[in-house]
Amino acid sequence: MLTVAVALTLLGLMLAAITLWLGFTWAPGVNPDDWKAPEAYRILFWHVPAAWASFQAFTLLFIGSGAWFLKRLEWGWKLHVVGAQLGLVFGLCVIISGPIWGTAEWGTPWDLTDVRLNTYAVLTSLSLFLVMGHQAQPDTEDTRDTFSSVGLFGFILVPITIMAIRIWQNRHPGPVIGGGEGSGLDPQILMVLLFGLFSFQILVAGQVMLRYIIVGLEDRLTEIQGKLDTRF
Amino acid sequence: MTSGTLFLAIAYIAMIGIIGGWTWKLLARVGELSERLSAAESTLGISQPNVEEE
Repeated sequence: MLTVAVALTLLGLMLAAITLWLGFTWAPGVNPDDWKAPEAYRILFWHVPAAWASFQAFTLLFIGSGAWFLKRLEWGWKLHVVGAQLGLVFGLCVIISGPIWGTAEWGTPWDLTDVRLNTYAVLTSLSLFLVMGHQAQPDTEDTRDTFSSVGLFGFILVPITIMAIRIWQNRHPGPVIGGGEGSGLDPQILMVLLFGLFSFQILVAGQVMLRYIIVGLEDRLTEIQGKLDTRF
Repeated sequence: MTSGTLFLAIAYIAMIGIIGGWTWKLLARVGELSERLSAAESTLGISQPNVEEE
């Protein structure tokens, strides 16, 4: 399983690098008259896949939280931990790259009136809270219940964030796939974006497996250290 | 730089740093835990586990 996890992670990184190369060399530029910073649009080749990767991580967090909270399943807790960490990693990618693009294109990094930006920031903050909480608090059933309930109720922000640009679009660009009339992308740009989404799928799969293996190893080490303590 | 190239470069450097750093940390942690487990298990006289079976 470790070999598969490492192979998927490295393959995902390699494909993500190819996405970047295609995005810079093969994808055409956009009309400079329509955009203030036309070259900066190429941020979407990683920004959008990272956002979708984070939504997948938050889904794992939700499933894991439910499995622990409702059934006391150990794999559920492991999935909760993995989902929170990956949600934070990919969430940070989005929350950092977005405002940099915003500064170039809008002239401001943030817009407090934009629902999409704000709900996504809360979602990433939630994963930060969980990751810090896991490190700071003792691993007891009570703390697991508390963190799991946060993971369960926090998930409501995922559909709200996804639908925000369709319902209350303000500053953030509208959906580029399935956005209806007037939306859509140049076929070459779309192809690179889809390749990027595929790359991040592979990367997420590899990283979920790797992190899951680590949680298992940590548990086994704790168990063995307990045996050592009683023996010596 | 009015086309946004500098901002683009900064954003990608940040994302590469986050994803690359995280992946590096994961791989290093697997290696470290495997070594510590092997040492602890050899002390206890347990047969060497295969991380592949995890």
